[in-house]
Amino acid sequence: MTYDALIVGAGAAGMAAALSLAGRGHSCAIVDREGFMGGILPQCIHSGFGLHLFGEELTGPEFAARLETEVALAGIPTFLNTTVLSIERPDPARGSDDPRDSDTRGAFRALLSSSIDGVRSVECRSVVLAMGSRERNRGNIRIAGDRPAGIFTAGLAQRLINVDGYLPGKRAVIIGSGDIGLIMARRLSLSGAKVEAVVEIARYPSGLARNIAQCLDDFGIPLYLSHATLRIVGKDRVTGVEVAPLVNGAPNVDRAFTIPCDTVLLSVGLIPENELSSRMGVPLNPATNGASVDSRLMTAVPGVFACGNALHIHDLVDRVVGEATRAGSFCADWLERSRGKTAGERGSGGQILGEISVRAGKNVRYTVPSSLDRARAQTLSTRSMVPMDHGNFCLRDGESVVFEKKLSWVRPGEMIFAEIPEGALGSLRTDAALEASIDPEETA
Amino acid sequence: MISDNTPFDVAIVGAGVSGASIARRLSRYRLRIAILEREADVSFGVSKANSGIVHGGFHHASGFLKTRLEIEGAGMFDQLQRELGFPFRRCGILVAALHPDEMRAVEHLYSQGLANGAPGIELCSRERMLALEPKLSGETVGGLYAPSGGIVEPYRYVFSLIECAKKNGAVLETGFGVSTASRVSDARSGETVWKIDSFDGRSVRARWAINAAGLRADEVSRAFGAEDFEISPRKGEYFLLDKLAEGRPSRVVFPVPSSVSKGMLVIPTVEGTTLIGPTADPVPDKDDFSTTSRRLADIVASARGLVPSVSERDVITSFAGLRPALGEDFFIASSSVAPRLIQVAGIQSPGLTASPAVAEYVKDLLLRDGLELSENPSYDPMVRAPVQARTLSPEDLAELVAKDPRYGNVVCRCEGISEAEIVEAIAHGHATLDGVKFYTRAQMGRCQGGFCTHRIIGIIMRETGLSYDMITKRGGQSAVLEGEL
Amino acid sequence: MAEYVCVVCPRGCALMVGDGPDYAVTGNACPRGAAYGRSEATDPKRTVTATCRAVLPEGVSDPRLPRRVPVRTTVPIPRARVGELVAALLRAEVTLPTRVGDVVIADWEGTGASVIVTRDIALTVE
Repeated sequence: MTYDALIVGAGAAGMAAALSLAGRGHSCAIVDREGFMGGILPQCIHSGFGLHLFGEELTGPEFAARLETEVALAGIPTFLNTTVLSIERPDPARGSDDPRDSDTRGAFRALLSSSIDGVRSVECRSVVLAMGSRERNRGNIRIAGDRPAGIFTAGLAQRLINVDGYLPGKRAVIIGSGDIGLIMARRLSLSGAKVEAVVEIARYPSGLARNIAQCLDDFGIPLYLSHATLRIVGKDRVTGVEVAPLVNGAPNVDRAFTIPCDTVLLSVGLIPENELSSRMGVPLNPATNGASVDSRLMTAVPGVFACGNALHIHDLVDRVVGEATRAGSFCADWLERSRGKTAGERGSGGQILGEISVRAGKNVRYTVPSSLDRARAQTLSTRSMVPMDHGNFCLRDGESVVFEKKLSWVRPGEMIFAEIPEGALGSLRTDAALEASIDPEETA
Repeated sequence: MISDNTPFDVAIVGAGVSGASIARRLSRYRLRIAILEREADVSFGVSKANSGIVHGGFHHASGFLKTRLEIEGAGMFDQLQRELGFPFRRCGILVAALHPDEMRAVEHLYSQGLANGAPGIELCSRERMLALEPKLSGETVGGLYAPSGGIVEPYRYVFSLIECAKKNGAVLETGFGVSTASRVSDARSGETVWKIDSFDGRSVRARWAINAAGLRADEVSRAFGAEDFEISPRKGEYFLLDKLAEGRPSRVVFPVPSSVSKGMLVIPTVEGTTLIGPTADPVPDKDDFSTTSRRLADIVASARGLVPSVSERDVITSFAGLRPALGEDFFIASSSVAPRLIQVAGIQSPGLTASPAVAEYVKDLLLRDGLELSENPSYDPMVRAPVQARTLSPEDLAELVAKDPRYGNVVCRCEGISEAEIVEAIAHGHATLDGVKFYTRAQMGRCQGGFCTHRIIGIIMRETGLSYDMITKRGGQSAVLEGEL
Repeated sequence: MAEYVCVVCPRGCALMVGDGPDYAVTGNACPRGAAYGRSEATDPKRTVTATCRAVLPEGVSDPRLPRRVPVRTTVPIPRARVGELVAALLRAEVTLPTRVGDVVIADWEGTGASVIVTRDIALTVE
């Protein structure tokens, strides 16, 4: 059979997109390389998920269970312990197996591999990329030094402790003050290890203040802000981490000191996982490392949508569900559109003709999507480069402000969502190009 | 099993490219061979961290032993690959001159190559260079092209050599660091043989010994009461670039060499990544494989000088190797101090290229010195290359998975390595995380083990019965897990 | 006067809590923050999350199954007793399969907080 949609990834994004599509009556199948649903959530045993979506503070596995129950109720087939080796784009010459398909687009052909079901081909009319993210590692940030055992990314350590039941080390230094590192500081402490320090190169911690409080302060773990990690020391196993304070933006080597430890956890950021997307020929946005998408969360490959951490790194899983639900809904729209029309009338630069491109301006790291529809109400996600107590998010066409939203408590670690109302962009010229900016406001 | 009764005919100390090549070469004969490797796995010394190049035969003046062996060895790689199946490709080597003055040095290399008999070597104009390698810097004024030069995965090469030697009867002992060697009388034959002791109390007796101990060839030589020399480690740091990196040339690109080293290169590896480096810095410590941030900046700058599209953003990891520096040439000779000991020391570049010829040379030394070499009629030169699920067509993969489902379970998603391949690595004795990594490539990809490490730990435990605290990164004290909840 | 970071929601308001008997709270953006501030000043509590050892039923053996079962307290417990509860939980055993909400410990030490399983873990691994 040919599925209407193949969803790659059974995490929050994949499940939400699948539910959205199934709710519109489309056939879909979810594929995941793990042996369980939920993506990264089952190993996130701490609470803090679901406040927006369910009005409760759930643990990761509980949040996943809510979605998993709905997926089972909806009867959506899931292929677990299965890797998508490749997805071939439709070949009009090949056509679709289904006589109901009157268009000449043909179906995508996905090659799946698992030990239970062997190697098989699955056809689908559309694809939702929801593979989540991978962790930035030592090589990416180039920490010099020895190559001993005992260096883990925080997520790997989390898996080892919370699912496999092993302690990666007894005395740890955590590099990076993102939430995952802070959570692991607490988890290691509760598991019988000593966390000697969290080392952060920026002036501000990148994780939430509440996590600093309940993960570091509660356990008396020192946080070194504005400190660079110079190198890791240790022949066979880690023996220490050498750090130095930043002075005028550069490490002051004279004031370097070594923190003895046997374990280093790296919590230095997530990168959208797009091996499969690249191989399929889906163009990526260098600012996010996720696919470049239009206002329908559709990539430059017609029928291929992206959502969740695979598209851009989120802070709250509740928002991932929101975005993935929208992606599923746009995918359903696309599937339902009259079959005769070819999808994706592309202009130069790859955006849908009729969509207005958005570029990142002052203080904006990126926007998702990178183009907006003229007529429809839509959601734009963005992040600020700098913290602000109060700010103003603007979309400008040249000098004129087309949309703005007042913001308070702006943090680079908190994604900003702008709901752009229907018709807001209707009066723009056909060749308009918008610039997004976040300007600090002095007044309270 | 080490038997204390009949001494081995030959004990080879060191299982890097030299020791492994010699082991395989000698396994053609009816000889009892012991390979004694200090690290937890073969190829874990010098042979693990180097440029992986089969050289073009022009970098060294004639008259050196290493030059002759380089040319001979380089010519033997095609047959070796057919027999052993390790990854190897003759992609060609370029030496790029970025300035008219540098052409003097290039011309010198060219005439050296001609004198050495380097096959196909060409002196190139700027146009020819850019046609051969469009990603070269626009500053290129000319250069040299050695079409016979190539790239190899050095550890896969060593693994296959050792597999072949073992298949033909050689015995491998890992974790065997030589502490002392003494002359003892063999009760049965009355012959005086070597008794070679390890630091952990094991002991091997052998009639002949070969010192191919790389960084510690000097220590091993002293342990045997043989020549007194000193190996000076010279560190080479490298960066590894992502497979999708733009700055990947199709041929190996060298700069013009300095008096001390061949320079920092841009190397397209066989498996699709790109290596840049190495540096060349003397270090006092033979265990110092650390990378330094200062040198890494130099490497990127140098690489970009040759191939401007090399970008820091594409770096996925870095590592360092140590060269066992000992004078200008290889020291391969029968010891004139200790009996029945062949020295194979100071094997820096072009050691990998020369290794098949080094093996021939050592075999000839042994023959000349009186070791009887009678052909083993059941010698099998072939080693089947491991099946790689990721290289198969969907149809072939489906068939394979139907026969062995573990080929269908992708464990390392970045590199596409299946569970069956990891199980095979473990079956071949590579039961550390690094052993699995170098044998299969699992953990070498973009996520650097972030996704697959815990799975590999589970597979090693399952296949070997080792408990969690015995799982190491590379043997010794490099335990990965410190406790159980 | 004491300062606390409110942990009730991701905003993490900086709270200032006066002395008793009023324990007046300022800096909170919502009433839950006020309640938290007072609680921190008088009787600090925390929600505890941990894992217990997963035990397989008789005759079942599958190395792919998780070896730990995640659990949490139903309500926060006194902060001073967190270490004690976590240590007890780490040693405790929970037999698979599990459903979210399975009770591991009812009303721990009279605190009114029970410990429940937070993950659905089936015995069959596909």
